[in-house]
Amino acid sequence: MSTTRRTFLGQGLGAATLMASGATLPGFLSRTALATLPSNDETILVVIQLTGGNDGINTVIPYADDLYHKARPTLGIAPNRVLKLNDQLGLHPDMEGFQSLHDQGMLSVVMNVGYPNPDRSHFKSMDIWHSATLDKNARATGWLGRLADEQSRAGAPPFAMQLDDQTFPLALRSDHAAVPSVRDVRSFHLNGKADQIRKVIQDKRQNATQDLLFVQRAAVESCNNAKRIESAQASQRVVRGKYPAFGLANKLSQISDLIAAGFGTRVYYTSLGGFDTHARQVLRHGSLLRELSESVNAFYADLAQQGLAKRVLVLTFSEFGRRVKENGSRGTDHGAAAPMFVIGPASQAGIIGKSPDLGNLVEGDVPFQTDFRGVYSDVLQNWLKTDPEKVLGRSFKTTRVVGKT
Amino acid sequence: MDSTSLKAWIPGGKKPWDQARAAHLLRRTGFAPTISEVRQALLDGPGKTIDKLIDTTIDSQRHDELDEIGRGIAARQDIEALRGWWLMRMRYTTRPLHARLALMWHNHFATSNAKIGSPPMMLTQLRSIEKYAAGQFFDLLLAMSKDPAMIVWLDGALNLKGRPNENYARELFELFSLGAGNYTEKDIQESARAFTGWSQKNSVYRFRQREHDEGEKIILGTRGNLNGTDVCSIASKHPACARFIASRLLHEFVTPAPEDQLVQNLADELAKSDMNIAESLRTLLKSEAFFHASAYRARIKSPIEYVLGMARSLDLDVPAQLLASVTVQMSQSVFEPPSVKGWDGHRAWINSTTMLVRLNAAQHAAEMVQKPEDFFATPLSADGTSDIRSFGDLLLDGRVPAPLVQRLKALDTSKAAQAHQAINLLLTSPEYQMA
Repeated sequence: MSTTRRTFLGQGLGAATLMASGATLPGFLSRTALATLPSNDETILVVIQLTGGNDGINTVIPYADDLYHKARPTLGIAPNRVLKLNDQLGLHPDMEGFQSLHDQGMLSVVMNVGYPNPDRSHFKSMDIWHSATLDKNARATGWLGRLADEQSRAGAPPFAMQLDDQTFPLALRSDHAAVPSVRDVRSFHLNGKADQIRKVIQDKRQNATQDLLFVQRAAVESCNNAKRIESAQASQRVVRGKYPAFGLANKLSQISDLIAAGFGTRVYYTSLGGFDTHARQVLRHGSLLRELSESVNAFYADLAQQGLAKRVLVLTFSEFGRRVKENGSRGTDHGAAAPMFVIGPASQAGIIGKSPDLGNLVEGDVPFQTDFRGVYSDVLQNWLKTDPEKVLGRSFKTTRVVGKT
Repeated sequence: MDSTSLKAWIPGGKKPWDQARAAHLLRRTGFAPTISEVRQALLDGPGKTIDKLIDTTIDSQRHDELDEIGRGIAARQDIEALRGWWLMRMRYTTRPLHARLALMWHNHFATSNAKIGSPPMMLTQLRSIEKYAAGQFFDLLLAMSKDPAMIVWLDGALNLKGRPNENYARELFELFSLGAGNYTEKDIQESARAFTGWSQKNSVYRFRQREHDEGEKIILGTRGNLNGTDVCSIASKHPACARFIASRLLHEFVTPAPEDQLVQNLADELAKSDMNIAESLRTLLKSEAFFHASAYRARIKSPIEYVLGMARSLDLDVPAQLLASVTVQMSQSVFEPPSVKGWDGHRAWINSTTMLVRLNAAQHAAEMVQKPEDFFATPLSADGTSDIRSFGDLLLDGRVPAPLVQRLKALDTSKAAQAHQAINLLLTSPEYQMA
């Protein structure tokens, strides 16, 4: 046997001592452990990104419109299967979770949300939604990153946080505020002599480049957040809601843990991917919508048990909707405007805006009626109580989705 | 020295061919050097070192052996194990530059097993990438257009005459060849027609004549009964393609923020050689731009550079599945990139979680070093320079920042535990995160 072969085959499973083991410690997050933090009744925003371009037409379905059924010969959902919200529109049959939230007065649907001259590239359009600007030269930061810049205070817990296993979103990119990305709260540890490592990393450098300073700050923040999260770990949380076995549900349950612990973060960002349904859409779309609606439903049930539901607002968006006419592969291609969901006791329940006008499409797509930045404005002003112009650069026609605060 | 010039760099005077420059070259063209590789490069000089990096041929016996193991793993449908296999090949490669190129193209033509669900097809794609990685870009683009995994990934098999599916055509222009802004929606629609019938069956490329649209198309100004090969040819000859690929090479090998003039200079070089990757790279690696001070430690290491770099420099035997799991935790999951855009790289590698994983991995790597006290036998001098035996020299090119020198001096590195701690401090230093 050659050395090469031996090298490869000699690496048995038994040899694995975990190099990066964040050993997974069970344990929940306790409110008392963080009693010193500005525990509060502050409002919290949870953003759920639907990655890939969610088919709005088959999410909130214009079931009474013949043009819908004509454009969707194989993908169309028969009116008797639609979960009706009114005499025009209804939810996809896999969205009972959202139907239930709707019936509790916690779901609003903002119809036909988009922006002028829609870009049909996933990445360009995502950048537009994240940066909240159409100016491609002004996309260094995201809308929530700028908000974090406005609101962050030294020594305080991070204002905003990504809780996800995906790429860090432009939406959270800030100029100076530290916005952490946490993949899994329950294994977020620094091994070894943590304090010494932090000290050494922190030593001032001479002639450091911007990138080196960036890495240095990130490493220091990482140590600080590990300390914060570890100190929040205890087993005092008694009540814990049940979550379905979905990836999104797992992420939301961790967000719920942090909220229950009074962690102090105001904006959480997570995502659900797989919406780029170019082919055989029926195999995937329903199960994604089920994951979304059941996970969010369980999240609110959990929060409600702890009396926290009214502090939390969930916002969903996708980079674009999809072409109204299905393609030849039983799927749909990239489109334009689509509905957004704003969920929580504070949302103005019901449908905001009109059913899409399928007789007046632009390049085969639903044109936008509501600029997405009007929804951001609404959330910033009426939920997070900040000046939307400071974050968005100018004023937009603000929707009235956030109502009952 | 001009940071945008491709003129050959001539060492001398205040800018000699020294350890830092040799290590810079070896970091960019591989996965961090060992002591003996740095020594060899110092003896050979930059020109010969670069020629060797580019021209080293495949050791076919070794290659075949590894290939057979890879096929065995893929046949077991185990993508985790296949990821470990690829990382082990990088770890022990005799052709580091070619391994880096393959990884770069995997990122460029990012295809994920999450959708493909077939490790053998992912392996076929990798072998195809390796075959064309250093040649003419057209050949690579065409090979990817016919690659079975790519066809599944971007719905090529569903792109049929009269029922075009735009998925592949759009990404071919936006992400594979020209970059956004250099084509129209119409070009995409017409190109989708040109690719109709390019399909796969049982994981092998198949052209379905009856599903191919033989009508006239106009693509980027060229008119005719064009097919997919024509689209690849038109795209790879387009001036925007030379700039797009130049930018990719510069980000990978030189700097995260290449100046426009440098991009244009390399684009000209690519165009001159009919988009030959190896020859353009030879010019680039030997250039003033490559050895300019602004390029030194300018890139943030990818997880693979970081992890394999530690393993190679410290001569650690790290099990394949550990290499796989730790790089995945740092968010570089080869064979499963996050999207068709691949990994953004540089600053996007760094966030709270990935940084924490890096710090924990460094600690573990440090503790794996046998007899660490031996390596600190030569103490660091105040300015950080000393014999190459010292870890400070090996890991930070002898340019240990002053505050870290003080911290290291406070440790008694003749004792194993403190020597381990010293190695850990070097590996967790912000400087070591930079390539």
